[in-house]
Amino acid sequence: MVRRCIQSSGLAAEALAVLLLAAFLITPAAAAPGRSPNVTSHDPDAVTANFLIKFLSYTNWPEVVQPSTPSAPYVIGVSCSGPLLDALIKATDLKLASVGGHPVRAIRIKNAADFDSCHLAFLNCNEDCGAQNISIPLALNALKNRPVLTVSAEPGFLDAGGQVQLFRTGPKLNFSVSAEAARQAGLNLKADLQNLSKPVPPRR
Amino acid sequence: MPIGFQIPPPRSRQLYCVLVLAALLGLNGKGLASQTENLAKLDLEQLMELSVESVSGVSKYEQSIRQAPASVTVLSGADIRNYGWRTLADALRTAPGFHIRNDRFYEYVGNRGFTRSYDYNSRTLVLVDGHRINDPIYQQGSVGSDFLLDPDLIERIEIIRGPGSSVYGSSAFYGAINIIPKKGRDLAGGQAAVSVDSSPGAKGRVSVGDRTVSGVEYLVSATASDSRGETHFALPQSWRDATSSNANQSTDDDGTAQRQLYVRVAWRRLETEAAYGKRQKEILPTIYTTQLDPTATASDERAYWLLRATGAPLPDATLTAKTGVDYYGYDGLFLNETKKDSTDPTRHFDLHHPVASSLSLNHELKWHQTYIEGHSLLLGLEVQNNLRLKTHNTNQTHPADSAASPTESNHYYSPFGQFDYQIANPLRLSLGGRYDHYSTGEQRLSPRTGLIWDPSRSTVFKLLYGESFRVPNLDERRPSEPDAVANPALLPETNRSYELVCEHTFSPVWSADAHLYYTVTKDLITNLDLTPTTYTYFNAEDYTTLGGELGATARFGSGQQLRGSATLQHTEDTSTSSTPGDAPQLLAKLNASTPLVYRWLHASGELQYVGARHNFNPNPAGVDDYLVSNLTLRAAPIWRRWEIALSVYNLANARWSDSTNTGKIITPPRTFRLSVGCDF
Repeated sequence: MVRRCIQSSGLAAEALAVLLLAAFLITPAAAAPGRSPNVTSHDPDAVTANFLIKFLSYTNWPEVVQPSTPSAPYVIGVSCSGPLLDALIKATDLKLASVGGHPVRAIRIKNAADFDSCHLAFLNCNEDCGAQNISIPLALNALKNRPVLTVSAEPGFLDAGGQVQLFRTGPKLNFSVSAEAARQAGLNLKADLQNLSKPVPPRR
Repeated sequence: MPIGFQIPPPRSRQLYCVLVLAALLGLNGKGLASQTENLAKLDLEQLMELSVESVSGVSKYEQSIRQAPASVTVLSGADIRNYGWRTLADALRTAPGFHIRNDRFYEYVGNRGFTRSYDYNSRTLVLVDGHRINDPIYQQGSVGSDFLLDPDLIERIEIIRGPGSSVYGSSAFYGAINIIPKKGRDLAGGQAAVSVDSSPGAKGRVSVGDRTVSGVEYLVSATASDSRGETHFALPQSWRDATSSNANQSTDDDGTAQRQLYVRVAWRRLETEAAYGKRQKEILPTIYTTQLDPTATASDERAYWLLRATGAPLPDATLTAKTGVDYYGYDGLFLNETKKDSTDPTRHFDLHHPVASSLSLNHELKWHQTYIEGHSLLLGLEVQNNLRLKTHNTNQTHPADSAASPTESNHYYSPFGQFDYQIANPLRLSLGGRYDHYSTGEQRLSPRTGLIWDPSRSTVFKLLYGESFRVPNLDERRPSEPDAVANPALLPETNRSYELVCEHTFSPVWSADAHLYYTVTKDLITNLDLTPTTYTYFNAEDYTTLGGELGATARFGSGQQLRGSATLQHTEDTSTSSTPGDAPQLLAKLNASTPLVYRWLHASGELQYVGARHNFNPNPAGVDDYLVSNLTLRAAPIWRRWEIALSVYNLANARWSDSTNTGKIITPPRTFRLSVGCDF
């Protein structure tokens, strides 16, 4: 009886090992482990998406990069696909978001050239992302002194030269801005945004 | 050996099938647009007031707490630091509906009016990031100093009330506690921390963690602590009567030594994690009603190693595979009373050396798919192979009375699934279930249903139903005590729970929740005397619990936080209509935390009231109610990288008693602790 148990569960373990390998191999690209899109108003990705849309209203871009026609959109680029990009696309597809009469469009940033069309770049590529994605240091380097508002939820983002960092305080989402980094990029953050900014809690 | 086939009664199965069918055929979901519209109407300030708390322990994937088909409390790493919690048990004491019994050896979780004598937390499942910690011999879920993770490494604690067997199987009987450890990115460097306490004791920890440019994330941490405990422990009269001893106190019998190691490395879709914890504890003589025995000691040792891979083979799908190895070891040495002969009035205390160890492999594969309409499907399979389960109790005084069980191997496999269906805009249905098949014969299907009505941004209602079970553990099936007799007809314990939850947000500051619950517990495993010198385990008791909880939370913009709860409950043994042991009718908690001096100094205090309880044994009849208060002052950062905290536990030096297996024991006195930490 005991021997039979060991044999049958040994087979199960082997089968699982094969499945594990298969899972690893068949995965093509960026995955967001353990995250899933939710649809209620309190879904973290949906809330984050709306934060990004609101940030557009609190930022002044140089005239040369502002949308030239009323139908031209403000563009939010996301460096990694996943539930956040889904939430942004849902919000913008429903035409709920507009900034100064301009629509808002969400795109996936696949390479540095995509930054050319962006007004805001949400940089969320980490170790879960494939090599074809742009990591935060690479993105910040590519965006240096370019009029693109950089936002991320990665710890230490402001220290690395980013402009807006999202973070959680208890159950709520807050943000901290670096007006100096924005100024160096040629952007002007409105006073209201700076007033709502909170200091990033120390990492412990 | 087969011990019966347990599936839900036909009527509830039919009802369940109808619900599943209704959901699958169901009503068209149109929730997405209006939910998104609601968010789009908010300004930035309002968005900052929304709760975005999520939980991963309810359904084995991350979801918002509002959508989770369970009653959940989440405590954060910041709470651990602010309130100075030394163990997981300290955190659980503040959770609504929980009370902790401390017999100075282990700490036992009481959940919604229920604890049992000789229950080593086998009815509450403890998880680290979804990985089972309860061992396969005693099914013990450690929450005290024997827990294998340093509290300073905990990112958050998810406390999930109610049956969890539909996703976790056995032992998620009354609830589950899921610990999410910190990641390397949370440290972004090194940390060193030391603390000294007045017990007297000292603790040191060194941790290093970060994420490299190449994307490798790592965290390595080691902790060591030693405590003498209460050096002069006053022995009560009841102990002197029971042991015929004249001793008034025991000296240096309460010490604890603890070693912990944690390593986590992640790269892209792969992560590996290992933890090791060993605790050596001196055993106070009152715990087993033994004679004075300065050498009495026991060690608990736990370790696991995991490899986890996550992928996205299809859009909106996540495939996770996990494989792991678990080790558990127990080694005790103490005097214990041995029953000899009922006609012999002399009490015999023999030196016992109980040893137990287990080695297990655990594998899990799960697929989680989400759909644009807001539906979600989880399918998975868990297999556990207990390679070696070993128990042995040597009677060193009389070796002929030693008891040894043959080494056992067994396994179980458990397919599980959950379908969350957005019926209409504010209404969501969650249907889940798990089938557990044990090589020892037990089989069980555990369903869970949640109907979640989310009519507005400020209110959510949940109607929850769930079933859970606990299979007899190895020690109950094949007791290693020399005076115990095995019962081959032992069945799993079962539990059904009904709960109504309402959560309401009054303002950006204040929110409140109310819970009404009713549980029916059947076939509880109890040890009963067969003869004056032998005992065995039976499915002998049925309980019901009816209770209500009210909770309120306030988070002020200036950083102050307030969290309070009150629980009123009644647990009854249905055969005798009596209240069982250690089932308090009233629990009340209050936690308050506020920044002082430009947020540089933080003060946090807590009050916990636990009502009077019956004892497990008729003599003494009961244990009194108690009120305990704790206070922590924390200063950080000092010179950018230093942190200092001063805690006082049991501020008023209240000395209340907790039930033990053999009587009652006085709990620890007031303790001071000074902690200093540094980032490098």
